[in-house]
Amino acid sequence: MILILSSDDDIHAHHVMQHIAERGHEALLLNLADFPKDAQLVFEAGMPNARRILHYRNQPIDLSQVTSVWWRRPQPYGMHPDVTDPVLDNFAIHEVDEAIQGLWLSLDAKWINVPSRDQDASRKAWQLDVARAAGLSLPRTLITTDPQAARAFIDREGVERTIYKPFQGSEDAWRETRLLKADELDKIDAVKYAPVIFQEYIEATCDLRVTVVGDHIFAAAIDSQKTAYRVDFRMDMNVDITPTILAPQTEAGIRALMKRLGLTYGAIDLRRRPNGEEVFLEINPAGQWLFVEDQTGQPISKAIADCLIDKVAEDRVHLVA
Amino acid sequence: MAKSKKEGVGHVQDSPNDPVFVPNFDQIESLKKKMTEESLTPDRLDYGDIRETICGTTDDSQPVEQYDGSLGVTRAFVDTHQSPVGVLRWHTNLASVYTNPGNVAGVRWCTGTLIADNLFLTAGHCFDQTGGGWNRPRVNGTSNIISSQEIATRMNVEFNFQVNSAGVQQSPVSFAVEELIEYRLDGLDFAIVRLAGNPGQQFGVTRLAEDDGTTGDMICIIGHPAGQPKRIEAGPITNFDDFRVRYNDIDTLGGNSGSGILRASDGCIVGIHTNGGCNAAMTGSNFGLRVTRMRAASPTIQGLGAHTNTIRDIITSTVADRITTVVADRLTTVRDDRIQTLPSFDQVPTSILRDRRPTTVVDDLRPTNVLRDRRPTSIIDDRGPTNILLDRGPTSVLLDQGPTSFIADRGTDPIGDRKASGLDKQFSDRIPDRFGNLRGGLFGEGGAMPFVMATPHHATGAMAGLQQTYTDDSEAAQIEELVAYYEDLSAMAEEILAEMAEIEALFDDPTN
Repeated sequence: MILILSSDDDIHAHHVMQHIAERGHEALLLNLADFPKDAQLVFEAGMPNARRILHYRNQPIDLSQVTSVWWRRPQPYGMHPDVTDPVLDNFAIHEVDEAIQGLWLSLDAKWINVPSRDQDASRKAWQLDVARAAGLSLPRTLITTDPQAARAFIDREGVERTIYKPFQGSEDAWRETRLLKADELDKIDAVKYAPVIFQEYIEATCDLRVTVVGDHIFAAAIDSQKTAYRVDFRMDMNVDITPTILAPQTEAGIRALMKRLGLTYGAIDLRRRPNGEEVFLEINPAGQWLFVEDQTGQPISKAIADCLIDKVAEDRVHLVA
Repeated sequence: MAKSKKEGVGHVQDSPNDPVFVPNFDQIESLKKKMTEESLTPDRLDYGDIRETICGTTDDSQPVEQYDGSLGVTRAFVDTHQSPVGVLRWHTNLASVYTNPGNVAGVRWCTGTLIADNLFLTAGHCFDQTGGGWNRPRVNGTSNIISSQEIATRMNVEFNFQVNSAGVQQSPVSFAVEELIEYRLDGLDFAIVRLAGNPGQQFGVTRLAEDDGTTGDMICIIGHPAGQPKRIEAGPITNFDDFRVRYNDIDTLGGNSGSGILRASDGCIVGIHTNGGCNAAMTGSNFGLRVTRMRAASPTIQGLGAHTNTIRDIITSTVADRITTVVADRLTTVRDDRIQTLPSFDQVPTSILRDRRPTTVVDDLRPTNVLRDRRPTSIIDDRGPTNILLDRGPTSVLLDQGPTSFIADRGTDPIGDRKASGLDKQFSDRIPDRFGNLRGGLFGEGGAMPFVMATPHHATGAMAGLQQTYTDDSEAAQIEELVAYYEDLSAMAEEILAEMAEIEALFDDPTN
């Protein structure tokens, strides 16, 4: 059985589930927001016929039958509202988390992606090093909390030639990637409050979005320079996206990157310079893809479904090595 | 003024001159029963019930944000002066620190007022080792009660512990007590503690008067009677005797101790409330410590510098700040931010998305999800499984899920792996739990902004369409509420400025 960890209204998950169903397989979407509030775990060990059961939505799920898991959008645990003391609530959450994390490790299943790898790969500082080691080109980059270092970097790159961006932002505070303006330099001391990623601005003919599923690489060109905001393609949804072919060294670099990061799935952002050089910006271990698939027709959802169905002997996608 | 109804119970005060402490509801059978039966925390009890149970009377006090202006000071006065008033609260974790923690953990203990950015003035007896029938923590391994200094540092001060105009309890903002710097100097019942952070920059400060005022002056006490959400009472000064200022028409309870006694004419502190007489026979006596006595004894107060104590100062220190920093900031940044960042995907009406990309309407699901991925917040969405924030409403995650939502949010949970680390502590202490309480952090609006957030959006052109199309009803209502709030404050400021002009005209008038 295929287990998908996400929210009930995750459209990407539903698309993949449809492909799984078309191939005659079964997938279960497990929303952790129901656990432990509305689901019960039975995990036995050290006895004959030890059971591994999750009672979920009036259905006993035999966890020993799980063959693959898609770590898609796991939700925060749903705690019982009866526990009202914050200290005890905190206790309960930690206990739930301990049990569930252990449960994942005990599944003999293929993962997309292995959660710990997924998490590590999302760290922007580390991705850059791994990408470099994999042979990809990078923008000159400074991550700092030192105003002096920030000023020196901007001096070298030039105002309006340096972009700056947050690592992730938070739910209620974020900014798009921006070109640094002269008057914003006045506030540069504020880097001391939270580190900022400064990078050389890459003049580009287009942005590239490369979606990797196992051995499949789906490369798309995003015509970002014709949009209302050429610095960050996410900001304007009226943009053309077309399939493209990557330079051979970029493709090789991406394969090496995925291997080094231990990922099966990843969405990679790059920019293509006027001279054709393709520059790595970042990798999102669980980035979205339907906006690409919809315009390019690239069968990404199907590839994910296939990957979940087919038992491929790949050590790196197993938690139990 | 007290309205006698029936005999009071549970009042712990041996003689009228003993300071009053906050009542222990666990020792008052009827309140204890009510809390147990209705699963109420002490702060959710009905104030009238408490008052009547303890004193046998009800009183005229009102929640500060619901004040109707009828007690002798204006609503504007209360709006302006309630903000620097906070409640001293024992830490909730005493049991993890002391083998004999007593029964005070989490108890909201005394009231006080910010008199500088980080100085909080209250009553001395709040840090006494005995009194009120409470058991304070003992030094581990001994039977000795912890020192006054240690008592102080086992408390936080909470601001904004009050209900709003709709009666909904607000989230208090909490600051740690760092040091008890003055305690019962010259034997007088006052104390000053230094707080972490600079809450005064956020909540304003209140000035101390140079004189005690005179009998008949209208005064106002804003505080936390019985540790309840902030209330206001007012009445005239009855008389002075020795170091005391008396006001027999102002109803208070234990927990009010340490409140500033505010003079209605200028909002300055003319005394510290220390003793409340609460009995049905009205023979009790309310009194406080006169400001001049306190001033003479306190190097800290002397060091605050001379104040002119004019209305202009008050406007400068509080009202104007609120208008410029809170309201203006909220309107310009918060609103914009929310409109632009709000599109937490699940909340974006699908029709809007469809409108934007009719060509992608392949089926009912497709267009929304495709576009949804492309919303500005897809920045966050790209974080993938490590980020559950995304799939949730804009307000829900942190508030509803509590400090450990980070754990859940991160899937594999780096923080959870290091539960005992400083990072974990930092998060759990500073993030509102799912009950909306802030835990010991230094939160509030108006602080420093990290660089990325200190600079504006650039993609405004690309987002313009979004802003126009995306304002759902609740968002619009919030904006309207903010605008109304702004207009209220503006009107208030206008009133005060007009009043100021009148006063200045009086001074300028050569015939005066």
